[in-house]
Amino acid sequence: MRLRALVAVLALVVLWPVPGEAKPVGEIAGGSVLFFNDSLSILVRNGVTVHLAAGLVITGAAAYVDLRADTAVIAGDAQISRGPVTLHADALALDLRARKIDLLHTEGGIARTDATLAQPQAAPEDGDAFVFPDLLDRRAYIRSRRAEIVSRTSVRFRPATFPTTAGAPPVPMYLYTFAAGNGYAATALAPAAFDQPYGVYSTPNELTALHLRYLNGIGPSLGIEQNLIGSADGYIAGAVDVPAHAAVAEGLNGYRQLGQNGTVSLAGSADDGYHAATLGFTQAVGTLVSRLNYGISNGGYSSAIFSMRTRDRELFSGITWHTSVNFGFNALDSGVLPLAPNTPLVRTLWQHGIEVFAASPLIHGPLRTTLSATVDGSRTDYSYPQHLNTLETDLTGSRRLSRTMTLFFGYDARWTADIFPNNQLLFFPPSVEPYPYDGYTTARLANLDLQYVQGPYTSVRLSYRRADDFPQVNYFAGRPPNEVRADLRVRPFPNIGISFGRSYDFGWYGSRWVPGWSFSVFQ
Amino acid sequence: MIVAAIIAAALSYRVVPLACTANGLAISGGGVLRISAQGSCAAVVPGRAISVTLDDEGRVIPEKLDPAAHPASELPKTAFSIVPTSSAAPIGNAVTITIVVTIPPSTPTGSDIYLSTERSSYNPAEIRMDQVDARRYRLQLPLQEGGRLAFRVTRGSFPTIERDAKGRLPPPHIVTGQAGAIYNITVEAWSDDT
Repeated sequence: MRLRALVAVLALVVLWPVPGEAKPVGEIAGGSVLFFNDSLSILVRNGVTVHLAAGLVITGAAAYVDLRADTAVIAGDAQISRGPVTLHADALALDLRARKIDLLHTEGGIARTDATLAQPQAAPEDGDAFVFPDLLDRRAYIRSRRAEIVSRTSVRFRPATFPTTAGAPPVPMYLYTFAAGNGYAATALAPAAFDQPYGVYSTPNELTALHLRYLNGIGPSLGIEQNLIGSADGYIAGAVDVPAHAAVAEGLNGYRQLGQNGTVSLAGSADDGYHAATLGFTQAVGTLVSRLNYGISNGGYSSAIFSMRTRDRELFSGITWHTSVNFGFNALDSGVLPLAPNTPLVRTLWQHGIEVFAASPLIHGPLRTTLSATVDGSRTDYSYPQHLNTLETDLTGSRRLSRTMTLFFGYDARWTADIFPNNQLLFFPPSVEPYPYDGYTTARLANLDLQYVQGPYTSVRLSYRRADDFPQVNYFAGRPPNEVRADLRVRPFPNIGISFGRSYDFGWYGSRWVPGWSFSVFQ
Repeated sequence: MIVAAIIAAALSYRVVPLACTANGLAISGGGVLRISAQGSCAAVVPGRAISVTLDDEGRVIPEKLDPAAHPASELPKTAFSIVPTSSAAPIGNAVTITIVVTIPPSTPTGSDIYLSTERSSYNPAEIRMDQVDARRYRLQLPLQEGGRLAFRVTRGSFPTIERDAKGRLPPPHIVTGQAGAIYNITVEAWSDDT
């Protein structure tokens, strides 16, 4: 409970205050409201009525709305009124950003006024304002009767049918969000095998959505997400994930830019009794990016690590590199050192470390092959006499077999040494179950992938991964020794695509195989 | 002169009418065509494309849509009482675009790269990209000509969404539908970089 309160306070710190940008809102209705998501435009036929927030009411025979530009053209016996004032025209053009209204008369040219509907004045002819594209009705993504538009943010259709999306059922309401801000894209839900958001409500400062989900190993789940959008690209996203056959999980994340070069972010989660939160700051200084991450959980664990990392820079011959240093502490009430008989209780462990990374350029070889390699080494020293060394190297290659088929291969090896000078056997006694582990680990992974791609319509990838790790024990350490996976992406209809992934881990978790899958629908 | 009038009469032009009155046909782009004495507004539905032909005096006769009609931009200026300053936008044929994403060398080995688009409300694992080599991924997508697509790049989840070189969440990438267009995107960093 204390942790939840702390996270709530931190969330307010991250985003407080939350002044939203004022954005105009409008509603457009007609006999037929067609939405084209490719061009972010709405076409209205068979009579149109527009209500704008400023009290303006516009009617006409047809309308075209450009959601990108915040402009609209009302065609055919157009009429605009505000209170007792009414203006008539053969066609009307609205520009919400420029706050201008152009009236076209076939016998009088173009006149201009504004939202006050003051006496129109002759205006230079602006043909761009009266562009009404020649769109084909059958290509519309959504067909509706009414659309509520939040400028530069979203449009909500009531009801909505999807004529070009096979199998999509009609719904009483559909929210399409096109805001550029990160707050509308953020989610606090954990990754899922399938996740289909369904927007319910949106204003210039908030977004409410349901998520139909499927979690590998758990089953179907319903996610409910609420995003609050603030200034400086800031947001708070809070979510509740309600699986049918598992405990409810909660998530929260927040983000905000601090000036031109800094950010602050917050991530929190509560799942099956375990609560954790992380508060992070980043600040770019010249070619360095510094980070400060403070983490806390209800198990009595906390940590604070400050790090500075250079950007990737070219060394010579196309080799790139970066380096980073870190300093901080880890603390745990029950002790942070490895658990073994007779080990001392150390509740706080200070650390400082350095990491160096280098990557080769992409080397093009004979027979349409490519090769690249990376190497990454680090050393971390702790306040209790202990240090951790890691070295990881990776080699990745590809060979293009034909115009549509490519073979990929790779080998990745990582060695770590967790060393307690003069005390190694105290922390890693040979008899400790479940596995004999002396502080030195090796993780090796080889992969072979075959990919077939046929234009934008078909993609198939078959993968095999072989892991040789030490230690490699079910549930405790290492990775499944064998994994095969197939990914398929097809476009059965012009306006709908399906991505499907199926994987099997062999000889793991005491089972002959453990299946997993992923699924998504896209346009 | 007579030959020119005959040729003009044989041609029809595709226009999107905005309004039709006894003396003028307003079309997309803000121009107003002079209506022929033989013409009427009967075939005109505002916002729905029609064809027009020219009479001997260069005035238009509205007609039902002719699929072979020429673009409105080819209409002679003399047919207008108000000459448009802009032609109508393209019809929007389907085109294929290619998005190529270059990832940082320090990206974890074996990562899948995804496009997360506004069409799915930014589902972070929406479309898995095809691998080109160790550093590049590619996706071909059909799009309407002149249309647009806003997207972000992820490694399959929101905590692994792309960041810019200064560690900030960048705005979405926006590409437009142009036949054969190739868009090269470079991911500077990931949200879970340490």
